[in-house]
Amino acid sequence: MPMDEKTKTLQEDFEKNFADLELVIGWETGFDRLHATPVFIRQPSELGKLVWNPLCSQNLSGYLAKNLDASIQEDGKKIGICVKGCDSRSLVALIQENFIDRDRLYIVGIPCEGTVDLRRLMHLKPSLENVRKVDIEGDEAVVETDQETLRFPIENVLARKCLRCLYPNPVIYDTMIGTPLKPRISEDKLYSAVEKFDTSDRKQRLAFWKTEFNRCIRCYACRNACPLCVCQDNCIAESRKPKWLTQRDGIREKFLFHMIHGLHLAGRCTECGE
Amino acid sequence: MAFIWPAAVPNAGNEIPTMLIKEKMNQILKDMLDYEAGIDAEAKPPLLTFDPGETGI
Repeated sequence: MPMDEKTKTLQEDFEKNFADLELVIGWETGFDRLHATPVFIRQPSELGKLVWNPLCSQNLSGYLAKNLDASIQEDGKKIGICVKGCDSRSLVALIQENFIDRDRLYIVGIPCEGTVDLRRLMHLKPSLENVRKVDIEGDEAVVETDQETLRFPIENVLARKCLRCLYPNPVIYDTMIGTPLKPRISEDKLYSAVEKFDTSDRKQRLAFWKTEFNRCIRCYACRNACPLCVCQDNCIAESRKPKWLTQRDGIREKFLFHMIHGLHLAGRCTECGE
Repeated sequence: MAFIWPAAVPNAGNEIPTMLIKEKMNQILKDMLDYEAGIDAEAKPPLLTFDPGETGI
């Protein structure tokens, strides 16, 4: 199904079901057509804002556990949410852990051909402007501007998470927009990066992580963006009681913070790339 | 000795590759417990041992 048609079907589906919904969380066009941002819709007249395209990379399920009290049902109305394959896995994880009540959600799943990493796109075409549309056609990303139509091989512009995606189709949904897609990689390739990394010796790996973590400024953006990092103000990285970490910005604290972050996500991380 | 992140995607900015830690965790989980997170809403995650009613979460 073409992208424009998917957007239309998405809007029509929510229009049809809006009487049962108090809120719809989806994506809208940002400050230009090269950016998509989350949108929160409470009026049916605003449903026309909803879009679906390869720029809709943000995982919206993070808003449910952190920003909205989704587990308390009011007036029997539901929250409508748009999810890609990876996003739907985060939803499942949050449902499993009782952070969200499945019955409270109306999930619209969209099989995803991959999202475009704007940094990669802009590197290939720094002068890119007046974009009308970005779409994926087979193995190419097609960018239409007012002046020209550009085509890029997807391996050059897709986000890393999409290049190693095993679940392009939503694993949980009430309505699916479009038809299911085949994954781009086979299961045995999923952890090829880790396998390659493991071939280096311990000293090399330690040196690598020391260098990388030394760049960390402990801004907690990685924690805040993660849909499964749900402790928020009680995060052990900032908590005084228990006090596991100081607020120092030395390599020891940074290293420990990232190890704690990783361990808190063990068995929970759905690799959504946020 | 400089080490190049094997998972690095060209021109995707200069992110700290924290995903590699999570991927390693998931690889271990898959090997040891044959479990993948976020697939089956009815399944009980093997490492889910905390109490969701814990104060402050």
